[in-house]
Amino acid sequence: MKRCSYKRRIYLERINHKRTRRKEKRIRKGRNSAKVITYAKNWDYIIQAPELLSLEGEKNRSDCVRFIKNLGKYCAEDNKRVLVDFTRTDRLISDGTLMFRAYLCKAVSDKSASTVIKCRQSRNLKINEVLKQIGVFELLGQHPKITPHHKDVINWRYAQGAGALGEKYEDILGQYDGAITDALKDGLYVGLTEAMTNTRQHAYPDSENDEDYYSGVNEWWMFSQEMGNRLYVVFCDLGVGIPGSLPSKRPNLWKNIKQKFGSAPQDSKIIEEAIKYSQTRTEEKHRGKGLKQLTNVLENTLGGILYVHSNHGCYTSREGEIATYDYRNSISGTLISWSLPLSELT
Amino acid sequence: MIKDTIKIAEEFSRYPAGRFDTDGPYSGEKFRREFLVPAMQEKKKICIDLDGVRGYGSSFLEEAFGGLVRVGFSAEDIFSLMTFHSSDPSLVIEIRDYIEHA
Repeated sequence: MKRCSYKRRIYLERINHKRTRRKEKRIRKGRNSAKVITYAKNWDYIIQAPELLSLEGEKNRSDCVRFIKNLGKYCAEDNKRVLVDFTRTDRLISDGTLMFRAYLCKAVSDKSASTVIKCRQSRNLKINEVLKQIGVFELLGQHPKITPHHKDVINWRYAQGAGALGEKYEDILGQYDGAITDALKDGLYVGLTEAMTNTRQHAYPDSENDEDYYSGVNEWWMFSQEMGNRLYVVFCDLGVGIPGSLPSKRPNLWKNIKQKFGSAPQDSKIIEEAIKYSQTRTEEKHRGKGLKQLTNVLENTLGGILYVHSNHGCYTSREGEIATYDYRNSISGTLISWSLPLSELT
Repeated sequence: MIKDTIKIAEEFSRYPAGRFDTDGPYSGEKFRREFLVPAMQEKKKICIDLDGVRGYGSSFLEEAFGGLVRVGFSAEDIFSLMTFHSSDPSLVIEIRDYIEHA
C-alpha cells in the first residue's frame, strides 16, 4: 500500500474532523430531542436529555420516555462509558424528573462494575441545582461545587425505598405540618403508604424480595416540590403498571372491563375502572379502599389536581372532573401526582 | 401484662402502613399478632386509642381488625372486648365494617 504523505495525512485529519463536527451538529439540530450520540470522544454513548423533562403532552412525554428508556438500554451494556448530557435541558417538571431519577437509580444498580455513567451539567444553573438537590450527581459519584439556593430548588424533597415505610413521609412532607390541614396530611399519608403497599403487592409480581424490605432494592421513588404557590407530591414505581397487574389481581373486574371496552381495552380505561371500583363496601365518601384512597386526597380541595399515569394511560381528576388520555409511549410503571394550591391549604 | 388501653402511636408506631409483614415494618398483620391477638386470647377488655399516628390506610386496618375474624375470633367477641377511641369517627365506622364483613 502506498504510504500517505505528511500533507495528505493532515488534509485527511482535517476533513475527518470537519465531518464529525458536521454530523454532531446535524444530530443536535434534529427534531428529535432525545438522541444518543455513539461516536463521541472518550464516551461510548452520550444520551442527550430533552430540553423539557415532562410527561404531559404527547411530544414532551415521547422525548422523556425515549430519554429514560435509552438510559436503561445503554447503561446495561458491559464495559461502556455513558454520558448523560443535560447541556440543553432548560426545564424540569416533577413527573418527568422523578421518572428519570427512578430509571437512573435502576440503571446504576443494574449496571456492570465496568460500566461508567456520568452526567454533564446543564447551561442553566438552576437545572444543575435541582440535579444536585435530588441526588443525581451523588448517585453517579460526582461532586460538583453546587449549593442549591433558589427557593424553587431547595423545596424539592426526595425519598426512595422498598415496601410500606410510613416514616419516609416525614422526609418529603414533614415540613408542611401546620401549613396543611389535618385532613390533607392524613389523606397524603394514606395515599402514599397505600401506593407503597401496592408496589409490594401488585407492581412487581416476579420479584423474590418477600422478606427483605430493608434491602438495597428500590421499588418506589417520591418527590415533593413547592413551586408557584403550589405543592406537588409525586410517587412512582417501575413495575408492571395497573393495566399489567389487574387481570391477575382482580379477575372479575378485568372480565367486566373486557365486556365493556372489548378484548384490548385502552390503559386509561383500565385505570379509570380500577379506581371507580375500589370504593369501600359501606360507600362512605370520606374513606376509600385501594386506589380510591389515592384520589380521595384531593376530593374536597379547591384547585387540587390528580394525575395517575400507568403504562400508556393517564387518568386525571381536576376538582372531581375526570378525564382520561392514552399516549403512544408507555412509561413502564405507575406515577401518581398530587398538586395542591398552597393558599387553599392554610 | 396487657394494658387496658393500647395507644397505637406510642406502643406500636406513629407510621402504621401495609397489610402483611412482608409489606413493611409496621403492618396490620404485625399489630394484630403482637397486640390484638394476645388481648383477645386473655379475654381482656381493651380500648384501642387510634389518635396520634400519621394516618391509617385501608390495608392496615382491614388486616389488623378484619384479620382477627379470619384467625378465629367471632365479631361478637371482638365487639364485646374491644372499644375504640378516635377523634375521627369515620375510622371507627370503617374498623367495625371490616370486622363485620371479614
